[in-house]
Amino acid sequence: MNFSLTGFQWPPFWTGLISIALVLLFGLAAARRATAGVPTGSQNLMETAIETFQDLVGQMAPDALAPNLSLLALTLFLMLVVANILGLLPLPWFNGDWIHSPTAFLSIPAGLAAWMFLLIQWAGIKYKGFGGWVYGWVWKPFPVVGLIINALEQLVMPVSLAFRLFGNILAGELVLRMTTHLPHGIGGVLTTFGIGTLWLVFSFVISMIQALIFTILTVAYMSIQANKDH
Amino acid sequence: MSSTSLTAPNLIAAVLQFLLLLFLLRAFVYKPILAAMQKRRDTIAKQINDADGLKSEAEKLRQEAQSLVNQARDEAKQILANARQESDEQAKKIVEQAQREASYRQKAAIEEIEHERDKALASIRGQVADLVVLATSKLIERNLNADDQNRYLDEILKDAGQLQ
Repeated sequence: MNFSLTGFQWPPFWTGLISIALVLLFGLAAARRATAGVPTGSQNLMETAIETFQDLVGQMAPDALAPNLSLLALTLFLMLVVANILGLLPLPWFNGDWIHSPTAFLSIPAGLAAWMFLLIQWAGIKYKGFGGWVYGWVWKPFPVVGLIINALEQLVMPVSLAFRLFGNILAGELVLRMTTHLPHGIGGVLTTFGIGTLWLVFSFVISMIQALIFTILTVAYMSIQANKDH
Repeated sequence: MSSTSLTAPNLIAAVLQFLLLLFLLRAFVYKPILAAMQKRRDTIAKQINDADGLKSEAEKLRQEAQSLVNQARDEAKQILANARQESDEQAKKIVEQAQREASYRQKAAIEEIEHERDKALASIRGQVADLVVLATSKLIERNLNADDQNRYLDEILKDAGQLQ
């Protein structure tokens, strides 16, 4: 792992763009004929998704924060699901490799986690006031010493968010590629087909679960930070 | 650079991509769909309210109709009772008139009968008197002179007059 201020990786940028384009296409299809009458097809799906996230976020977040946070969480979830699954599709990439998920590059989950960290602190300042936010950082659960504990807790949060997502998606892709390097011959083909298919299904589920975990944890951290009694 | 590299421009690009998606979805997807959902909620609420209003109105109308029916029934009863009473009175009047007429006619008939009898009796009496005079005069014709004859006749006539 190395850090670069100027280096730029094009693959996750392009696949990221593809991901948001796909989400946007689905969203536009859902909203194209948005009707207040009986909803059909993609509108139904989108309405269900919106309501699910409204319920989910409504249980945790303060009422003032919930409407916006639910839409942010839904957007994050949709983007991550598409991004995670993109790496499992049999699409060739320009360098001869198969396509990679943008989330299989550490920079993308890290960037999102860092952004979520900033949003969470902003929510703390907005809903507890600056004094309450500082108090929460420095004075809880113990005066002054609390800062060390809170700094650890708050900083570990985005790091764990980023590495959990990155690790799961990268591992899924790597193991999927390994299944194509099993022994040759009829036995190899059968094991490749069998294990490969099984792993594909598994990775598919993991992709969705990791997207959901990233989203739910963000919502949970933000709700905790925005609640006045914390 | 590998997939584990942290590259600052990629961090920022990822955030910008996310913000772009969030902005576009909010503007073109969430907003119309949320508006449609809200409108549907309002419509349903309005329909439920309307249904409640219609129900109470229907109940009011039903009660009104019921009271009208009751009123009509009472009126019909009243009319029937009136008609019955009126017809009873009329029948009584007709019977009374008929009785009056019958008794009047009976009386008239009796009077006429009596009148006819008197007339018949008078005429019989006249004839009897004539016959008596005739018979008497035949019997005593030769024995009486004109003066005696007149005297006897007067007496007889007087007796006949007392017969009445």
